[in-house]
Amino acid sequence: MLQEKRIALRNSGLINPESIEDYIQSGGYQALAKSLAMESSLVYETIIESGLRGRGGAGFPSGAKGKSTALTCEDCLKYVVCNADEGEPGTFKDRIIMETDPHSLIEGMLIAAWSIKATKGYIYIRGEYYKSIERVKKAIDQAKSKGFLGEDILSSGFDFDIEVKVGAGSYLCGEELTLLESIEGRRGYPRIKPPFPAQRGLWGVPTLINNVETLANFAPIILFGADWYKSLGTEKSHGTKIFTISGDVNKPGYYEVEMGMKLGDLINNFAGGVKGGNEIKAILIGGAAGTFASKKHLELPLDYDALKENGLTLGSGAIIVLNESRSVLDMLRSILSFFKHESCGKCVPCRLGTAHILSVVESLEKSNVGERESIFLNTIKQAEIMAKTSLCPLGQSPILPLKSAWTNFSDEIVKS
Amino acid sequence: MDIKEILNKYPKKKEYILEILHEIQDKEPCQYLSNDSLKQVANHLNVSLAQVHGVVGYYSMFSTKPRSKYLIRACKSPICSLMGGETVIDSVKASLDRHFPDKSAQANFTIEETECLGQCSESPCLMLNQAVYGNLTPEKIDSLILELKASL
Amino acid sequence: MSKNVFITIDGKQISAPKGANLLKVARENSFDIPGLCFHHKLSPTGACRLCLVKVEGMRGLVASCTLKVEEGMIVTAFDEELEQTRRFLLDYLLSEHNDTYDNTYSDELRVLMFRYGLDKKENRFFKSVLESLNIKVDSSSPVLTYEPSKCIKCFRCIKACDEVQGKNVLSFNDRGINSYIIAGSGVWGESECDGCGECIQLCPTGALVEKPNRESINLDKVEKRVKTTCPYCGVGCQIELFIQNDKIVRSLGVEGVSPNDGRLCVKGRFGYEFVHSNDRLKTPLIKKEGRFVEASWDEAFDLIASKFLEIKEKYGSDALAGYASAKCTNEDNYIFQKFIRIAFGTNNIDYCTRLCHASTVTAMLKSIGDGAGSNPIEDFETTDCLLIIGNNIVETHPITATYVKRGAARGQKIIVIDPKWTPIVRYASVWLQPKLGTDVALLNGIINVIIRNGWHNPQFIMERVEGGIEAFNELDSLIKKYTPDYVERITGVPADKIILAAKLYARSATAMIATGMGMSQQVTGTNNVFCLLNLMLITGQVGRERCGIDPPRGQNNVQGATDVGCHPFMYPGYIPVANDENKKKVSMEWCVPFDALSSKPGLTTVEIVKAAHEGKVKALYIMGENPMLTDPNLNHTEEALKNLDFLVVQDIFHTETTKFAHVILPASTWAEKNGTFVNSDRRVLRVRKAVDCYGDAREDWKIIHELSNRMGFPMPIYNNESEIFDELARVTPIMAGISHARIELHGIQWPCPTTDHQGTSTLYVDKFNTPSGKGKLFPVDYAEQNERVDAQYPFLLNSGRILFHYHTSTMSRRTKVLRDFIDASYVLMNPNDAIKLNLSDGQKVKIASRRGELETKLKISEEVLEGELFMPWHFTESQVNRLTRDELDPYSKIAPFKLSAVNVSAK
Repeated sequence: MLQEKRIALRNSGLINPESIEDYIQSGGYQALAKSLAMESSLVYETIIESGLRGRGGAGFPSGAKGKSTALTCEDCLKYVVCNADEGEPGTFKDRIIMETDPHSLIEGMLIAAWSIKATKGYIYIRGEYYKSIERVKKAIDQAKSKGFLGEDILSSGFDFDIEVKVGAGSYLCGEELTLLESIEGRRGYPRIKPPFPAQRGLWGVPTLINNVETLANFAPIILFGADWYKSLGTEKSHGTKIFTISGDVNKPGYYEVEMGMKLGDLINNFAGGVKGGNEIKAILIGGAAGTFASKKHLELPLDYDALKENGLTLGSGAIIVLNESRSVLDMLRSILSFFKHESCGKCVPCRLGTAHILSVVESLEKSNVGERESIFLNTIKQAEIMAKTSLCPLGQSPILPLKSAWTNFSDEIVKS
Repeated sequence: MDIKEILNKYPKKKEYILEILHEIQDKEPCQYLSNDSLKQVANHLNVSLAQVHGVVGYYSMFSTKPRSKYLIRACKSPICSLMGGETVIDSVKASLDRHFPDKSAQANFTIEETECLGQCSESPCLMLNQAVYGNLTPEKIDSLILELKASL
Repeated sequence: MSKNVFITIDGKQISAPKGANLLKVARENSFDIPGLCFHHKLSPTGACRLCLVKVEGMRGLVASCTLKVEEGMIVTAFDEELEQTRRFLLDYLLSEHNDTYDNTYSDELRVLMFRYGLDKKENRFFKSVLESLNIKVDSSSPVLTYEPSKCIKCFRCIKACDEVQGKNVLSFNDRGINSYIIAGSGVWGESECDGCGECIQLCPTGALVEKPNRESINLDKVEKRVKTTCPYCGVGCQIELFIQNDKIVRSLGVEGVSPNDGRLCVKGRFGYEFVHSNDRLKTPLIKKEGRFVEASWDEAFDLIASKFLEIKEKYGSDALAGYASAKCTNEDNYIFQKFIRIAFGTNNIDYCTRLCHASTVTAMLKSIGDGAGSNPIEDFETTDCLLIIGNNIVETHPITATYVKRGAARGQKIIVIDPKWTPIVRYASVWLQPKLGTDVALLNGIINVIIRNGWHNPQFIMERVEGGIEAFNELDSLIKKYTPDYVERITGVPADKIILAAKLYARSATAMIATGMGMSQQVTGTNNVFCLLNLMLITGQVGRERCGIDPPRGQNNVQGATDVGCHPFMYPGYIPVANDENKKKVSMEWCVPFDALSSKPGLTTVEIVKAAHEGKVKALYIMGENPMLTDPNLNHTEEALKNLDFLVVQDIFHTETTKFAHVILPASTWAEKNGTFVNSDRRVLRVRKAVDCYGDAREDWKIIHELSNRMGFPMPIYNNESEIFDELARVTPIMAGISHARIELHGIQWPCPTTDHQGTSTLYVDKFNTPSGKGKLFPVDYAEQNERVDAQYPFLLNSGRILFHYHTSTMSRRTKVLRDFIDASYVLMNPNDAIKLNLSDGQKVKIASRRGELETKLKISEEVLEGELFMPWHFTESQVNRLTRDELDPYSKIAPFKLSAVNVSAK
């Protein structure tokens, strides 16, 4: 049955996001109480067992991250950071969570913090999300006044506090290691890894970084158990995912469905199909650091592995639909322009690469049809070297849209 | 605006630099960061001038050039561009010309581009100061400008 | 000690220390992996990606500069894929780089460009992006030009400024491909950049190039590079001079050697211009009818010899005196003191040290037996707690300060005691700002807190302090009244700060003291330092690594000049003259009769001036000193010099003193001679001749040698300076094991008693150098100064140095770069005082004391307390010492430059 399955969005639209009483009444902070009564290690083991993977885009097993951080040192200072610097074009799921159910994020952070025995947390929200910042700050104050934050939470002896940090217009600060630099008050340059944040993160201390949507899943998983979560979704991609759909569809918006939902079903059943009855040409999955799917992929289930097997990526879950009148090349150009603008400039391949591949793609229009193939393949070659040599995921990303565009739309690229 | 008052709300630690810069910029009528205010920030946080300027220069929400009372940031992300975002700025300019034929009055408006605002299901969109307006059409833009004219 | 591990690079097995940087190890083993952002002095960046290698077990390509060597690592450094990738990345990099090259800098990118064949157009695949980047050149700095079209955004300059020099002046601005470097808020010349040039030295391209000599330097035409020691302050930085057309055209810091590891300050890097100034004295000058007339060396020598002999005959040996030079080499100074003792037959030899660290040395000699710093410069970084008192270390010893800043970054606790704000206060854990002249009270207060809380070290006191517990109890009973509240009332320092300082110093595992002019140049200078030594001895913060007391020395060879005997009471090696055994040894080595040498201790610097004033000293031979700017109470000094029958001044420029000479002899700068200096941490360092003497000028020791000859006291023939040093070493036990040959590459710290001894890093580990082998406590009581403020003279004037100029600025003001930074006198006044006197910033003012007056410009500043003023003393147009007094410290005979009562009025 094609229905949403709202877990991360369980309260969205159903409660007043500015009322902690509403949240409590709908079962809020019960998972926290349950976690605090458990061994902290059991908490992250539960998350591991559930198979929850990072919902920010990387898809890394969330519980494993927590465990690695916890095991770095038993009693030392540790931090939990929530990455709410949602900058991937086409993605706005975290904003929805923060605006409609900020307490789910706070409860998630509390559970994550208890699992690794961290005593301080930071929520790094992008500066343009004014409403989210306001709502999250309010929710933190409310949680404090009710004793869910602060000292000796629910008489457990556990102390935890959260501070909101505000970004200021940098996509790259959504990348984990760059995020830490930004929190520490510096320009957003990615750090060298290793060391990884789980071993040395914020101010040199073990730090667990999770995406908003990931954390919003923690409370239900603790409350209803790993097995319950595993029963949803597919064999290797458990649970649900919020997909944000935009572009040429009748009902652009956000939909939380079980992993494994078919791409075509998502577009037609939930997003109302292509606008104006047009044909689908392309679907950009995952935003700028995403891949172009074509009509032939509509039957694919949306999960990490099925997409990967087909040369596609799930990424942040952004789905942008292009109808037959749109130009994939134009879209590519916008994407490459985005990367050039957001490159921090630290490493050579990305700093120069994003500039050069953009100018090449821009010049494609003016070149002869006969030359276009070799020009585009040259661009792909550059992007491949960028992927091989760049310091961080930004430089490693342009190959994704470029290669998938070529695989699925080479005709159009050469002839348009 | 008393910068010292703003600064004294924050501990003298570098990690508060973004919050401090935001607050100073937001309270400045022309929504920017002057050299003098940055000097005071550097002193308060005990960091060097270059470090403060470097942070300001990196993050695209900050400006060292005076803007105006109304800051219009048009989204130029791939999705908004797809959905007609490339014409938003032209529409804004056309509306301004229409409703403020006296160019000097247009000084109350600064137009900039911005990257994805995370409002993609309502693209194309823009941000006016801290509020987001989506599903833009030339008409919607025009009525927005008219509204602003009324409040000037 | 890190153990060695085995790794394999391209099939070759290599042994390297575990945890060493992989790129560095590879290069050291002849695997020349390219890389532009890496520098061994900096933390790895991983930005240029040229050093990518393959490591078995690691996915993909990894930057070798970011990896540490581990046992069994298998590395591929060169294969086709890696080389092709590197060429590709270089091609990228060259597309944002302006390839023009003018041979004025070394260009690492250019070398790689040729290596990878990218100099050929057909091998370049990427169009230049420079046109779209409209970033302007910044040539506003006096020392360098920033050329963004050559900048490869490698981070080296930023890290050099942050990590090596601790200054944080630089950052990137903007982002991505539009990034560029800014200093301060964007205009280099208006930023806090102090011209140290670390960024220039580390820049791998022509993005940052020095301005001085840019038009003339051509690296291909540089004839030689000469390593020598900097002639400015007592840090003793190792520099490399580039010589082109017989002129110095560049000075670089020498990496990998103590004490500076490639670091320099603005003076060391750019302050050589004076060597080639047209103002240089080039022939002897004899005053005839009130005018100086050029003369031949013969004429000059004969006149001088005859006059000295005449005065000696008529008035006796003690009517003659000599000022040695803290700027001249050990060899020059050794010959000079030999001359004074043999040819003049007196011990009236002294020099500017008497105006400087005399109190420090006097107190230290009495208390612990040595007047030199007890620790090597590296300890400034590694000690747990550093007490910096009366020492504006950032401006006066910039390189030592870089060690301190790095220590601070590692969590070192720093206590600063200074009546005036100085830049090191930014790094201080606590800053005590006592009123001028109240130091004894403050230090006694700190000792009081320590004893009261039981933070002293009874075991150390028992074992290593003379008189043990008894001596301690004596100190304790004097200290009892110096409670924090009592001390606060006298000094103005809040009690809680006194307590914190005491706790930090006493309770740190290791602690060092750096003491400067603020302590020494006072009428209670010796007592001030006694208090510091008491503090050090009762807490046991001495006699171990990273513990002790280091007075950073001001001049490049002020340490050496005393070491080699330019002291009225001591022969070379601190051996008292008033001792027949010593005199016998020395006379034998010098091949002179026992009675030829005087046993009577001679006069000190200011005493010589006083004696001249009284007509007791008739003749004075001054080498490389400028008492007419450096001595206190200049009006009095002027009268004294005018009263001399015969004054010979040997110098490189006309100075305020040469005016009064009867004969002026043209001497050589440090760049024109071979020899040695001794720096602040007792390191004997080589000085090497880089250019020929100017005009007819001669090396100082050769002038003295000939003069001695002409006076009938011939010295042995020395074929070179190394032979002079060998003789010096025979007479000076602390340097007995040192020779020019042994210090060819690295300096050696004395004491070095034998030729196989490695030198001594830390003093007093086993015992102190006193007769008992133990340290001595000297309890001192606070007393108010004689020089007091009153209605007529309501301010206390402090004086001192600034970074850009050097002492009497004969060298620094003949260097354009240094003048570009600052070239005028000023006085600092607290804003509240300025308001009361209705004076404004920049206004011309007159300052007068009980001794004299001067004019200068007012600068309103919060750096000084109300009621106090500060003036730099470098500027001849406003001679600070017209105002100072010559009431001397009774032990060290130093004058209190740091405290004079004055008034200020609008001009």
